[in-house]
Amino acid sequence: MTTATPAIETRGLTKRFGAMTALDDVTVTIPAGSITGLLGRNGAGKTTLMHVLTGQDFPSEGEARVFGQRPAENASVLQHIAFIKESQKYPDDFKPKHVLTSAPWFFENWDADFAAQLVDDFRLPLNRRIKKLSRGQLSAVGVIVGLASRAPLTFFDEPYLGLDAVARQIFYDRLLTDYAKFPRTVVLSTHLIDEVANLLEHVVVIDQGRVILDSPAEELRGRAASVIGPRAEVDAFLARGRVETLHREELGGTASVLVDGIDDVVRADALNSGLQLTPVTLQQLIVRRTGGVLNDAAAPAAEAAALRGRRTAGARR
Amino acid sequence: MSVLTAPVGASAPRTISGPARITRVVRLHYVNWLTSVVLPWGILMLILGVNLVIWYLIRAGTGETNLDQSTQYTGSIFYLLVYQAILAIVLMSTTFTYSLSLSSTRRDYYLGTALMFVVHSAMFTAGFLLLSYLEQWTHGWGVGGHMFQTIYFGTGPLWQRAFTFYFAMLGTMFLGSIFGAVYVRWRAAGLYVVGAVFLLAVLAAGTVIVRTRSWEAVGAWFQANGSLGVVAWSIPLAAVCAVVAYLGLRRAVPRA
Repeated sequence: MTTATPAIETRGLTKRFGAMTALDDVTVTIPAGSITGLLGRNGAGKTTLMHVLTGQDFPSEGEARVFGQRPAENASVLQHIAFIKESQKYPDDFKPKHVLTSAPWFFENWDADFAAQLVDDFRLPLNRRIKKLSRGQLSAVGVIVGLASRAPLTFFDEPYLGLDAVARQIFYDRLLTDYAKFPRTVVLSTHLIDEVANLLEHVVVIDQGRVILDSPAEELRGRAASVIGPRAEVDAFLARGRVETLHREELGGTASVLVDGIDDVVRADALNSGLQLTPVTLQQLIVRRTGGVLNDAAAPAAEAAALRGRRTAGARR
Repeated sequence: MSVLTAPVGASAPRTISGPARITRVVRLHYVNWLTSVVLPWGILMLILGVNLVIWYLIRAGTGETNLDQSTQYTGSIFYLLVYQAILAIVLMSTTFTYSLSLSSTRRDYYLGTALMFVVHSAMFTAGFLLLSYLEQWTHGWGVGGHMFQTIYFGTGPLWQRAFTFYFAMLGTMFLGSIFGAVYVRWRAAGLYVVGAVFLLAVLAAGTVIVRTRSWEAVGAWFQANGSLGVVAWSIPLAAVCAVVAYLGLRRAVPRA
């Protein structure tokens, strides 16, 4: 049973800072009751998007709706939102205990026992000045607030900078367990795509302020693959123009091409041509879509695109 | 697919009331009460202690037993007002970003902060009143000194002592809140501009007074109104400060 209103809906959302366009005509829909990955490179606009969605900043153009309403200065929407960001500033004289005392006043679903358990899990010293915390401990403060608040819509913006692998795994485990018990909408922005790939139900990829992918994670995983085989066969397969080439590597007479747009027909075609299809990780797909090659490069242009190298993002669209 | 047990959007079971959203901001300002309560009182008591020693030394050194006239002009109490103005700036510059990260609206944050000023001024006025009567009953702490009964504050009937100190402190905090709001919205650059404007305004006023040879009239006005009248006249100014601070904060964006 999913509510009809999506958790997040934007239409033509644009945000400019002077001459810089941080968000460019962003139209996305994030379903309620899902864990969504908001992915992209540094400076792609992820944080700006979350700032606008949480009412921290105002859109220049277009519209952002959260639970069907505009978030900016809207207490009835904002009270359901927790926004945890890597760069969160706390008052200078605060200790973690001050954060854990005050945060519950703002989140009606706050679970104090859960928070206490997380403090143990992350070994967070409660009585040390926040300024004196290590990078990882600082991140733990945010992660604990984000999880224990159980807000119907929780944003995690690079929540675990400086957290070690164990602590990150604790975060994923606690998030999944608690999410299963108390379903809510989680938006997770991160660079560690492979680590979170299994958590994600929906993926939105932003590059240079524009949405370049917005789809269920499962669909995304199935639709990209590496096609491997003799160069001539691969080229012939690509020339049929059914898939989009994202990346190409060659070794001797063998070509390996990362393609997007795989379906049953394409799959059959590749297998009939004696080509091998191997699945690619979400991270590979996203890296290639946001850094690699022209994303409108159709199969015949693959060679040219490969020659143009990796950093042609500026020439895109 | 998923069962939504948590409130989501329009189907949310309850909305947190406006007053509750505002009072939690007040509580937030006091969560670390060392800065907002203990420190100012502690420093004030330290100043009192230093004054007591000085008064005692003067008496011992000069043989003067009546300090009534000489200590009435002490400005020690102004320390408390300056501290509160700075507290207003510091609180706003640090808790604004934090409050918004806890999903407060700017409006709720501002109303909560303004309410904190009201509560805070009342708390300090209560302490001030107590000390001013203590000073009176002990005849200047036994040495005829003055700190809480000066020519500015702490004399006259109870209501007058309460009124002058309360509104002087409230006005000071709202004046500070302009600088807090400007800092939050425009950072240091904004403070330079407002500081410069402030300075120019003072210079302009001084120039006008000198050119029109009206220093005497200005002095006479202060004399005639006394601290009671001056504080009363400052109330509308404080109200203007409050509105200006809100307008500044209304479109402020928290920065990392």
